[in-house]
Amino acid sequence: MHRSVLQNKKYIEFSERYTVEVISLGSLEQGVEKEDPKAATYSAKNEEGEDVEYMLEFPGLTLEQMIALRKSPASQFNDTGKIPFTCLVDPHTGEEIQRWSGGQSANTLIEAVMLARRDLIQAHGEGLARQDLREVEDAVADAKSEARAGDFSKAFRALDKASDDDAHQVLKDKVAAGREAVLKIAKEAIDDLRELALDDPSQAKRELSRLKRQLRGTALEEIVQDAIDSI
Amino acid sequence: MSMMRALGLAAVGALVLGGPVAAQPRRAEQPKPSVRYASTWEDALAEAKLLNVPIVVHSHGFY
Repeated sequence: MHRSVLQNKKYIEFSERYTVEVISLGSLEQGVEKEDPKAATYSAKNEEGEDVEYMLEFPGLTLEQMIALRKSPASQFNDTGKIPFTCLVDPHTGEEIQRWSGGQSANTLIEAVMLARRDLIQAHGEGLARQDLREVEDAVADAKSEARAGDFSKAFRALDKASDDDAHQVLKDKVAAGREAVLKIAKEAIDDLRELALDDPSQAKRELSRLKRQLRGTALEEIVQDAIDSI
Repeated sequence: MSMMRALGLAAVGALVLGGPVAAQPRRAEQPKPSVRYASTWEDALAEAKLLNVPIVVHSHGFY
């Protein structure tokens, strides 16, 4: 089931456009305790730029997230006492649409998803394209990453590129939240340079001047200037 | 703090309350191509509503 669906190239491409995938895995802790190879992890950075260990068999998920998912409402659909079990859920109602007990092919799921999606569109209209959502999320992640690296010009450019007055409000909100996050990182950088000024005022002033150029036109421009003037 | 990070921390808290896992997972190579999983049920609901697509819940066992 894992290889035939969750690691199936056709299903992976299909799911990128037409589904949200949730895994609820039983007995994970026992596998970890026994150091089963299937419980192996790989190192990566999360969206906050922090080092994390993701599960090799379930990329992008940490052990803690997988345990939380198993304890979440996602696990309540399988009342059969058997695995594998698969179901489709209507995100608007939280109700189950269709279920399968036992293994299913990728094609069976694809056909069922398309039928379910047709009904969802009839009831709620077309949703946002995932590609548009990913582009904005990636831009926000890039912006935060650049900001953490100290390049606020690049951070704002990434956000500007993702900004679109005609975009869905959710996307606009995500860009706005990304801008706030970058400004928060910039404010922390200013505070750090105020600290540095106590030991090395020349260096702090140079860094603050550089920061001021990058923050021109933002709410922090005046705050940087105050920091420079205070040295 | 992002919702994802807050939920992640909450999950760790729940782990501690429920008793820690005795061993840490083994580290290994890079993962094979796979579907992209939602990291929380709440994230799954929010994204699926936005995209207006069904959530596919896979209930598997480790063994």
